[in-house]
Amino acid sequence: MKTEKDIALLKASIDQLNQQAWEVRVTDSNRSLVLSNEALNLATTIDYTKGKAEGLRTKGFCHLRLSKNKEAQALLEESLQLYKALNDAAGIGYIYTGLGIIQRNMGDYKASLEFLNQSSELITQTNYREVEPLVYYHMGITYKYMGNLEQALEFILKSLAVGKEVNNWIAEAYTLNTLGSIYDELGDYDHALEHHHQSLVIRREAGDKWGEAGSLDSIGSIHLKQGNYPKALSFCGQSLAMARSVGDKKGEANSLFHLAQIYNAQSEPDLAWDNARQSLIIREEIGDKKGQAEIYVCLAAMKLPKKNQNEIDSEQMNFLKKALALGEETGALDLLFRIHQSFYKLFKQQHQFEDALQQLELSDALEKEIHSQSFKQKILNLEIAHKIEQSKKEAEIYRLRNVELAHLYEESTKQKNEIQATYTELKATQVQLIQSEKMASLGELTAGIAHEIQNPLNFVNNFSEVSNELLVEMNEELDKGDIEEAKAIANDVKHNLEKINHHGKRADAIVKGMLQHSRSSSGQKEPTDINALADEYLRLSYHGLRAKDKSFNAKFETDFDANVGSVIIIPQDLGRVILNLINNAFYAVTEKRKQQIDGYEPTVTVSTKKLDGKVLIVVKDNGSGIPQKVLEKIFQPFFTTKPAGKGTGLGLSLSYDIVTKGHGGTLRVDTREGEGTSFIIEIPA
Amino acid sequence: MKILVVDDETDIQVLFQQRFRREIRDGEMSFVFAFSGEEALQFLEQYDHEAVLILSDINMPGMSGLELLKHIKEKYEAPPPVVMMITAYGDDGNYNEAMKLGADDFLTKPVDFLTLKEKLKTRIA
Repeated sequence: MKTEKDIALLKASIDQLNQQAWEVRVTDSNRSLVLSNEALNLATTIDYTKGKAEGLRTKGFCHLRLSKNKEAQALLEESLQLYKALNDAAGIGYIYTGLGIIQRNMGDYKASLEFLNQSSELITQTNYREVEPLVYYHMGITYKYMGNLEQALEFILKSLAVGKEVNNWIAEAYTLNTLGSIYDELGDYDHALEHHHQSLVIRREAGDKWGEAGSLDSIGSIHLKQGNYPKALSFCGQSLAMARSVGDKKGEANSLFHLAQIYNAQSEPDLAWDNARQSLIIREEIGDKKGQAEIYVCLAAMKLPKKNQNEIDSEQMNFLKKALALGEETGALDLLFRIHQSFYKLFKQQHQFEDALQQLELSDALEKEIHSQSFKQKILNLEIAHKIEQSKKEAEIYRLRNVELAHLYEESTKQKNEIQATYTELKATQVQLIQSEKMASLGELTAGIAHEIQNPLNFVNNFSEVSNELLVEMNEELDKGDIEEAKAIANDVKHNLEKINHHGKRADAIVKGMLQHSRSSSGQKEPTDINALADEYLRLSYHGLRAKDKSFNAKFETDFDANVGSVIIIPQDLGRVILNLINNAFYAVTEKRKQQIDGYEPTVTVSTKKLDGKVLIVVKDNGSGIPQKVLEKIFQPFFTTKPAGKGTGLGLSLSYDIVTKGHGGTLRVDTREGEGTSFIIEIPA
Repeated sequence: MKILVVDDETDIQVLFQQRFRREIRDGEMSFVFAFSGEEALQFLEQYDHEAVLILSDINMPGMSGLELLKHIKEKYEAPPPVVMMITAYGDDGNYNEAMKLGADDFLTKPVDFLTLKEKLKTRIA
């Protein structure tokens, strides 16, 4: 039992198969046939009407491609019934196109036109734009087969226009191909070749081997007309091989027929006859009446191998009779004209002048009919050809513009990528610089940290040792029975254990602070005791400098506002700012101390203040102050007044970024030359 | 005899009181504490010559142990109290400076209290 879900899934995969089959129907008809067959079988098992209709449709088109017109017709008609049941106008419309093509292939141009007209109507109604250019194209072709070049061109132009609009390469390639054929018929071989070559390029790009075979054959046949037999042989030979490789019967027959004519022109009657016979067999097989008639006309004019004159005469007559029967069925004027011309020539050759005259009259009448049409049409065609050229030029302009735009786009993308790469590189360098600045200040800190850790560790060791001694004493007191004293000692031990714990935690906090400081960017904002933070870094800075420089000595003072409390900041970042400012302050007072001014007491003061909605952290020194000309540069990256190798020049610039960008605050400087400097951090709280 | 201990770490007081509890109990030694160089000087001014031995840390905010040493040795000429310096940074620079300023001894942290005890007893004796 299939559940509803199973069926829905199955339907989706059938739809997908049909979609794939439809997409490759032109480029790979054999695969399309396999896929559509699979879809059809699956759809039949669950009686899925839409799946069946689509499968049958694509399968039908593939048979059409393989020139199996009868089978194609049966499949498309079955599909048509299903589309009608589904009331799917677009589906019905496209089936009509297929039926129109089949009727044309079988030589019934009137029926072909009827189907195509219906198709066009339905497709326009349903706005099924994807296939619109194809329908117009086929209408053009049918008109062309009927010898009505005016209508043929009109529809082909329309197909070209819509094809470009909906970006249908199939229509564009086929239209170019047909234009090539029209130029061919007009005797303008250069233009004909040009169009066929354009079509060939598009088809090759799209991987449409059917189309490619057709273009190659058309090019070969034009070379044949121009008498360029080696080229003709080459192109038609390629076409034949390609048509055979994809099972394109119609294409195979065309190439074979053209090869026959080429061999005939090169006086190779055996090869000519062999190729013509093969072509005829295929055209019979696929029901191409006009094609068969053309071969018979051609055979009637060919030098036939190994026959005596009587046999040749009767055989040639036979060929023409067959051609006439077929030609009348198709009603194609140009074909009939050529058949009667051939009869006339043959009768004349055989000295049957009465019959010859009759044939001449018939062909003249046809010629007049054709010429009266074609004279007007030639003028019209020239106009249309002009229009085509114009629209092609426009299209070319578009194409060039697109190429230019694509080029510009490529260029700008390239530039964008370059900028992106440079930016990424800069960003990486910046991260490295920040990290090296951190490591540099960490280096300054390590001595201070060592000192800071040494003290609590000493206490831990000392208090634990002394507690041990106390316990020995306590036991002695207990032995003596002096409980009171023992209790007093026990109390001391307890007190010591608290001290041990306190100093252990102190060391722990210092190590944690150091790790936080060196960490790349764990930058989480968290509530932080600002006073404790400032105090911690002040001590670290002081001991660090002290450890590094024995002569260093400065007073530090703190003035913390207890109301400041906890503020949400990134502690390691703001800690770095404070550390940096304090280091700078100590540096400033140390420099001034070197001047050995009497009574000068180097002092650094760190103070905090809670104001309305904000907190101030002020690092003040009584150094020499910052000269005016330096002042404006101090926040610039890489600016430093320290000797080479002593400062990265990034401290203040990074501090500035951390305070402003990282915390939405401000970093100001207030300096008086000779008196000192205050850096004021102001952050929202 | 009174020993003045100068250190910015306040817990030094409890530590000394415990480490020398026997000596304190037996009346051999008594300790006073100052938590900065300035405080130490104040004490010395207030209780003239009461302290015979001063144990001072070197690294302290404000007045350093070396400055304190200098003051003491300059001010109290005859006889100046014994000053023993204690520091975490037992480098040559600190040592030479301390000796130049007249320090009587130079100990490095961590302090070995057994040795210190011995030294103090010798000094007092």
